[in-house]
Amino acid sequence: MKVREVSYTLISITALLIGWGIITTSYEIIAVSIAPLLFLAVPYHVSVKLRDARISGGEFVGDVFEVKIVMDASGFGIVKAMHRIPEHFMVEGKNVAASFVLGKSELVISYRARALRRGRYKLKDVVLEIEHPFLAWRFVRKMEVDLTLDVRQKLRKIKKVETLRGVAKSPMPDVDVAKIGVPGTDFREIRDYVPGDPMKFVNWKATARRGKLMVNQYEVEGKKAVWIFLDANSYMAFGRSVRNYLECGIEIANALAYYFISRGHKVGLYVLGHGICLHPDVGKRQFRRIGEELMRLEIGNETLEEAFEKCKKLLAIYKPLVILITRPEYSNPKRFSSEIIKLGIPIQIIALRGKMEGDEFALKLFEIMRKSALKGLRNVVEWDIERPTTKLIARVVR
Amino acid sequence: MKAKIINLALAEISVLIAVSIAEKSPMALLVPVNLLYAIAIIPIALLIMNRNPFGFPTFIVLMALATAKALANSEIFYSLLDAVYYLGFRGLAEYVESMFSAYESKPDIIPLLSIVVLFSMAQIIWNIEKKLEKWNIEIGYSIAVLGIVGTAIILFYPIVLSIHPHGFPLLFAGLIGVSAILIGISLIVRN
Repeated sequence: MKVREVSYTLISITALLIGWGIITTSYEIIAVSIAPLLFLAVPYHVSVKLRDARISGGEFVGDVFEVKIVMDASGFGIVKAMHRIPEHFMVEGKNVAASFVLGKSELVISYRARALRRGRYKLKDVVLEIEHPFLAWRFVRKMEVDLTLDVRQKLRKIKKVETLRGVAKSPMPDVDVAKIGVPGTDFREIRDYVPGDPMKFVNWKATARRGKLMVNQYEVEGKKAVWIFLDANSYMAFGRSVRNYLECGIEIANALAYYFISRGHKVGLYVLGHGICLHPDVGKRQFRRIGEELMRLEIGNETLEEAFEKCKKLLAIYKPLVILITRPEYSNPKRFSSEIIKLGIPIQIIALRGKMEGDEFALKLFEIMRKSALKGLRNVVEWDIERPTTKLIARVVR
Repeated sequence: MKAKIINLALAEISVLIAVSIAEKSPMALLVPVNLLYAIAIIPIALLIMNRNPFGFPTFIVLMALATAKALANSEIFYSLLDAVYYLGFRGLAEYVESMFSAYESKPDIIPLLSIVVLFSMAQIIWNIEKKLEKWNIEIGYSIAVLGIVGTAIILFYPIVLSIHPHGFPLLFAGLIGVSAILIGISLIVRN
């Protein structure tokens, strides 16, 4: 136990007087030397009960939220209450309250703050320090409050995703159609019957002509699927806690998901590191699901090859546009990229890069590693994590 | 700022008590009584120097004045005088011995206790003022409690000291008892 300053002073006075009492062989001085310690013996006790706890606002990163915690304190002593919040919260005002309690007293913690990073925060800890009235002793205990704050990444709306029509077989998902989905009314071709085809699509004239069952093939409704692969391995956490590769990747994934979902595409998400897989789907509900996953995201451990093995079948079914957000110098996506291309699936890589500091030689070596990782890869967009994602132009080819 | 003013007041009261004790002690033979009152300047000077008016240096000076009488009963003090005598300063040793031997009575507890309690209060106020200000708590509550506790100590502590059941002071019996309990608990916890 750490001796508080007041206790130390009073014990020093006692020690000084005892010493002087021994030198002078005086009972009176030794008797008086005990008196300072009597200040330390003053009893104290404060009990604190939670009356109300509220939180409002702060839905997105950078938004202000307000917290109000009201507590009832009773007893005798000094009580300090501090609402514990994560270090990347910027507090306006004070998240502490203190009061001298004699009988009953009300303790109110009221403050405004901003969350600088997305996540689901359980702000449940209120640390109580019950102090001696002369600050000679104290004891610390925790009180739990039921406060949860969901902070989402602010949506940076990407206005346009540029296409390279010269390279693309089918330029971009905006004008492409899905491989699977509900058949529409636009006729595409006549083909052989395969078990499972509805009988209403059988073309009887062609069947009679060919001597085997033939069916009409219609264009399926809906647009092409997009599957975002977001790397959440440990190397993505490099940088500041509020702005690093992972945070930038999340911001880009969120913005791209919004962009494609709002244009009617099916969007899926795979979080590399945790094996979290959301199958491609359309609509606001899917966007919310993706948002929820991105909000909770933490660092994990998984290779691109492992992720590919898990999604291989689904990729073959959906034939989506794959967008991989990663640090290529660490993830080395060459094999992943070639496996995807083998399936006849287009892939787009967003290679994140940040400002590196250190020895010149080391930086050069790092750059060589990066270039070697990117060499031979097609459709790569290099993106500085400090740049706003609103300016992101992804080149999508197929 | 409140702490400085309060400590100055406590220091001046302590100076008056200490000088009133010193008037009836061998100190009065060494230093003229009027000159002893000049000690009252020390807390004021410390206040001007932006230091604690009732710090440890002031307390040591006051305790030296207030407990000088206790030297008259001290065997250690007389053995020191014997050493001075043996070393050849016979005149000085005899003079000092004659001064102190005339005051062979026990010092009063209440004035001594008052100085110690006032000094303890001053130290507490000095230590807690800044912390309480930082926490936005009015220091007045603590000072009021401190005043009550300090007064209670000055009023009731001498009564406790005067109780001698079975010819042994109650205070020391209590202290020995509490120490024994604490040692016992620590031994049980260790085992």
